[in-house]
Amino acid sequence: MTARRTPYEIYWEILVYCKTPRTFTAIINRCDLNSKTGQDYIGFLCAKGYLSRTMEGEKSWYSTTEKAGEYLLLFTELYQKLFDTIPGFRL
Amino acid sequence: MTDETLLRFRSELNSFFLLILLNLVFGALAMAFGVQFMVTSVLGLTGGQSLSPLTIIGGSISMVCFGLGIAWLISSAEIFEGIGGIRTEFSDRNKPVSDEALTSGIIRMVAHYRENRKTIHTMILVCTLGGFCFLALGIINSLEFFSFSLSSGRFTLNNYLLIPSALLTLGIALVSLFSSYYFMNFSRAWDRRLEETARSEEMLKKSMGNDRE
Repeated sequence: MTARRTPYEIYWEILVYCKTPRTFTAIINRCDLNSKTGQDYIGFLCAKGYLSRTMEGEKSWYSTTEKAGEYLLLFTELYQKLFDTIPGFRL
Repeated sequence: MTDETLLRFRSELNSFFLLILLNLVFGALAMAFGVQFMVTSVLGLTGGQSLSPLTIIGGSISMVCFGLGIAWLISSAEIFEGIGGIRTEFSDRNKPVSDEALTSGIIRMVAHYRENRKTIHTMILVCTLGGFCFLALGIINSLEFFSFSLSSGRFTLNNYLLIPSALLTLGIALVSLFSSYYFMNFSRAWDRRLEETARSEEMLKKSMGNDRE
């Protein structure tokens, strides 16, 4: 996805993708981030305890923690509500 | 909640896709008609036809229509590019859609609108201007092949072949004005959603205990 996203939307994408352990490269490719911003976002989520990092040889694997569950739920509710509460567009 | 939200999301996506598709077709027609009217005016001049004020006005408006047609087509293509991909993912009604897939689709749509907001606002302007220009062109064309005799009070039709062309021009004008109206509706709904996402961010920030800017 190349369109403009907010940091919160990117956090959500990273956290959902990392429900299964992923490598740094896989995350930045999937979430369409460059290396620098990818490091920023992943570092931030790790610091918050929403992502955990495990080392396997030379590779680091990132996976979403239980702590992120609340954020993911709230985000999903808020974004789905956009289509429930605001009158939509129809031809 | 997901089923209802999915239905609404899907229906909105389809409506917007149809509107953009309609705009692509009519944008191309508008451009083609702009060229056709310009060429007709120029050919008329080389054929020894006199330069009437009506011909000058018609020629000028067709040049504007041509320009607006190009702008219309480019803007539609830009928006179409993003929406097509999102719609394909949700087009299969029998395929179950997970909560996550739906939220991801909503994020993509929000991001798409955020990125194309200016283009959509330009479309509203281009469609309105295009609509009025084509309306003027249609009226001028109709005037060219109708003549009215004051003494007898009769209308005379000079050339039957011009009727489809004038009707099509008026058709493009109507579609253009309708498009502008629907784009305005779409934009209104999505501007409200963007405001809502800004409010949501505050809640998400609180839930994260976030001090990051």
